[in-house]
Amino acid sequence: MSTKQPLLEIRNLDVSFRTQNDPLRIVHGLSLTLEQGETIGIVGESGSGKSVTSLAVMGLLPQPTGFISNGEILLDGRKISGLKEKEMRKLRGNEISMIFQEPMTSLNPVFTIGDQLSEPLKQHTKLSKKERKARIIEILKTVGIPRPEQIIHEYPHQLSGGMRQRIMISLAMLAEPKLLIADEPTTALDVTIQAQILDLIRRINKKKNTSVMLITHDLGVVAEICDKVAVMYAGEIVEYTDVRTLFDKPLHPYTQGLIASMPNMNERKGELHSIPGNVPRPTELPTGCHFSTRCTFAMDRCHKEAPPTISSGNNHTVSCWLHAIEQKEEPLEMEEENNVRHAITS
Amino acid sequence: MSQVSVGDKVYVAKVKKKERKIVSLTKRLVKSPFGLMGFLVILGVCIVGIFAPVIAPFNPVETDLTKKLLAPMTGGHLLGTDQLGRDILSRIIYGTRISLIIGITTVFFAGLVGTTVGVLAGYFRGWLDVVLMRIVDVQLSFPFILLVLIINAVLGTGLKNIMISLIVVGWVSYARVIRSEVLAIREKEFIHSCFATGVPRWEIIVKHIVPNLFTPLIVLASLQVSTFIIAEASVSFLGFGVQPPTPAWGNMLNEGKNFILSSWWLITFPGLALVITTLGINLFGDWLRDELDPEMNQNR
Amino acid sequence: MSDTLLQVKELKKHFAINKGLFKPKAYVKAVDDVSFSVIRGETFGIVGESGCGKSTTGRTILRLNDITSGQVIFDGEDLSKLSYEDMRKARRKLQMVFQDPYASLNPKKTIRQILTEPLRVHGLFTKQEREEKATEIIEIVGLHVSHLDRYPHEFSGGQRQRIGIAKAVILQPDLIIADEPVSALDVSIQSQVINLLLKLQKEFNLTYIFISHDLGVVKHITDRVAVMYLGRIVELAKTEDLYDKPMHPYTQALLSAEPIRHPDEKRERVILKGDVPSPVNPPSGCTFHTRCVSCMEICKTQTPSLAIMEDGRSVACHLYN
Repeated sequence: MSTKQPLLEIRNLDVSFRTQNDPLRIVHGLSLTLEQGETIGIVGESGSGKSVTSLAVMGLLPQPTGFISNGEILLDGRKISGLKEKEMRKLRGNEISMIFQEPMTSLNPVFTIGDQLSEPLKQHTKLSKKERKARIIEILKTVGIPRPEQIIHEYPHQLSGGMRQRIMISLAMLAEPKLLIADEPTTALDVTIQAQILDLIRRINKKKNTSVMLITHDLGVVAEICDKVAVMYAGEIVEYTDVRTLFDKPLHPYTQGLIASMPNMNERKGELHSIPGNVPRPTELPTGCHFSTRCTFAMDRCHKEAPPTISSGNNHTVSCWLHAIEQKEEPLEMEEENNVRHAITS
Repeated sequence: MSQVSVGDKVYVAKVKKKERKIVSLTKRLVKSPFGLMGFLVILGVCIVGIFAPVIAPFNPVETDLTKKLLAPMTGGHLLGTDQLGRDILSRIIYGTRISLIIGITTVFFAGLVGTTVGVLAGYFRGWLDVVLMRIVDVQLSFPFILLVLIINAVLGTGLKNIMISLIVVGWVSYARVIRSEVLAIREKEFIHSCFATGVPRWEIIVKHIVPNLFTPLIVLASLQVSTFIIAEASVSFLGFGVQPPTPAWGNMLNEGKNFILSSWWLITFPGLALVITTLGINLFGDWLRDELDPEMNQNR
Repeated sequence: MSDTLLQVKELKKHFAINKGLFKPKAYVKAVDDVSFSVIRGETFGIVGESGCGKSTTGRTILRLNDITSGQVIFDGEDLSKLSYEDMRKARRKLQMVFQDPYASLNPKKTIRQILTEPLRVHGLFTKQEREEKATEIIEIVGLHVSHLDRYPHEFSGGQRQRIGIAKAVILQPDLIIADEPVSALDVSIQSQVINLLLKLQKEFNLTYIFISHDLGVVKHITDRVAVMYLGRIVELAKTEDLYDKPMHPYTQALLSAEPIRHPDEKRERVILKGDVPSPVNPPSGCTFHTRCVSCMEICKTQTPSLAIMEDGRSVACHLYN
């Protein structure tokens, strides 16, 4: 129960996509909060809805198919879901910025690096041409680009993947946003470059007190830089806690499975721990708990009813029947499912 | 389309699986106004061509100088008569047959030759590719219709010769497109996987590459049909093509042009037939291209 | 001495790139003088970052690319000298598993066709026997017989990779080259596929060359590892030795860059400067000297050769000569 207002607050968010048939719900009942200066990791596999969540925050859901069907997103206490495109554009690149997985496709190949970096400055500031150039060179230096005076005259294809990602980060940091959303920022990069980029994001987070929302499938990346983690599965947050608790005491069978199946956690050459089955498609989610078909602990109830979100103290919540039953034995405050969901955010 | 970036591939594939491909294609055709229009025009033209003797009210080559240059809606001639008193409607109906024969046969044979050349050039590359593609380049540097005329001038006039000349000129665009398709498919991992398995070369070509060419081929062919129909009309208009009295839209235009000021219907109606047919084919072809293009198709 | 199945000697693969009509041709030295041998029954790993030539090495061994120079001796036979047709036949014994399970299966073929084709093109068995083999293998890789008449797009990534593996294993080859077989898959699926590879190795006595950029996976599955940088092997060692005590400065940097396993884990990071140089114009001497923390004068001029150390590993670095 913090007294200050969180920077980002997502309340009970549903995101759906219009299809030929009924709208398809990709994200369901998602709630989380992010304080100023905090780094949150959103972990999940393909189709878990983690990227859609970040696009919803950015107001960049694909039009006209994607829309927020329930819930709200607040930035600094101001509701930003449902804002008009024009107002949203003022926020983007100003208060919220985003970097993407593939830096090549997010930069326009026909403009020089300098041109692309001066664009947001033209839009959001009243700097002169000279001041803009100085500002760009300064920011390129802070993200570790060598020879920035020359680089601004080069085109994206002349740079390597790691350099392009640095350019993307500098583009995102130009307006000193309060929130930086990074969608798989290192997935397309090699490990040695990944280490550099993660280090850079960590430095920005510390130095500018920028909040970071990091979307990733890699628990290693989470362990590197996140303060807290939301694990997503099939469009829902299944576990939400701080990063140490997640690794020390994972409660949800899915999180446990993910951590146990990291090769380093297993004996060499032995059989790896693995989660059976396949990631379900959004059109054919199992009833009850969406993970029930792959869960080794699944009970009858798991196949029938959606699990409640249980708080196990210390801002650790998990959506799983296993823990609901444990709690019955030593009754804490039992609440309705929805109340609990709200309780996480407050 | 934008859904591509979000919903994963697997789920897209799933939606597609539910209906059999043809059925779902038909369903989508009905939903697309332009595609459907094009399809109906093509269907109509085919029916008219096949059943011409049943539909045509008069004999298209029978002259009756007492009834020459009758305006539309007079004397039972819905679209009027020409300078020799032949019924224009019947001539257009019979002309459909020429257009259909030209459209279908030449596209088929030009496609056959062009695909073979394109596959060989794209698959084997090297000097074979260089030689074949330079031939294509040279041929493409001539204006299409000029080349058709030159070949017709050598071979002589008539339906058979115009078909030969259209095939000789038309294969190049297939060779071009198919070659670049093959170049792309050849680098796909499933072709590499065939090599790694030890599939013989000819089998890779026939069983793995060619089936993946059907989509571009269908699209290209549907657009080529209208080009060839117009080409035939142009050649006939210039007097090199189908010879009178055989009714063809091109030579009807040719004969009608002398009366353009006094009797407008001689040139207007065959012209309209040509426009509607080619427009119909183009609309259908465009729709087909969008449908079969896998990238456009992702959001379904 | 153990039974050597494959010996790669001074393998080179250079790709020519045209820079323009009148300019001299440039060459990308994707694989530059690589030698190693693979022992029957082991899993030999090749790790490195993108562009280091690890995939090209795998493909060149199978002659999916032409060999620029060098020898590939498989079971006593020099593959680099075989005619196209003889090489095609030899592929019965060497198979490949590809990275992208979405691209490596022909979308227009049913699984049955995909699985029986390898047997058919090598003239093995009757049609009915081939169908039986396909039925057998599809269950071994953890799918169901009813899947045989479906098309690749109806499967998820993990299932497709199982099919890709089945297609390679159905010929009962001696050697399988697996090029990043799990890196396109979801995390929870990766371990399933790795388990499958381990199981098949036991069952069919397979030898693997496992190519990957994922250090964790390589550590888990391989017996010996070669680390590649800019087309060359910089270190080759038993897996335990390499991970316990990396010797080449590049290996040290690479291993230290791997993400930590627990937020409380502290790791000495060797952060490399800059990016991998272009393989068109690699640095002189040791190709790693531009980024190396222990760079000496000799490194800038002389290329270190792969020298054998006391514990049997090989390292290409002047620090140890």
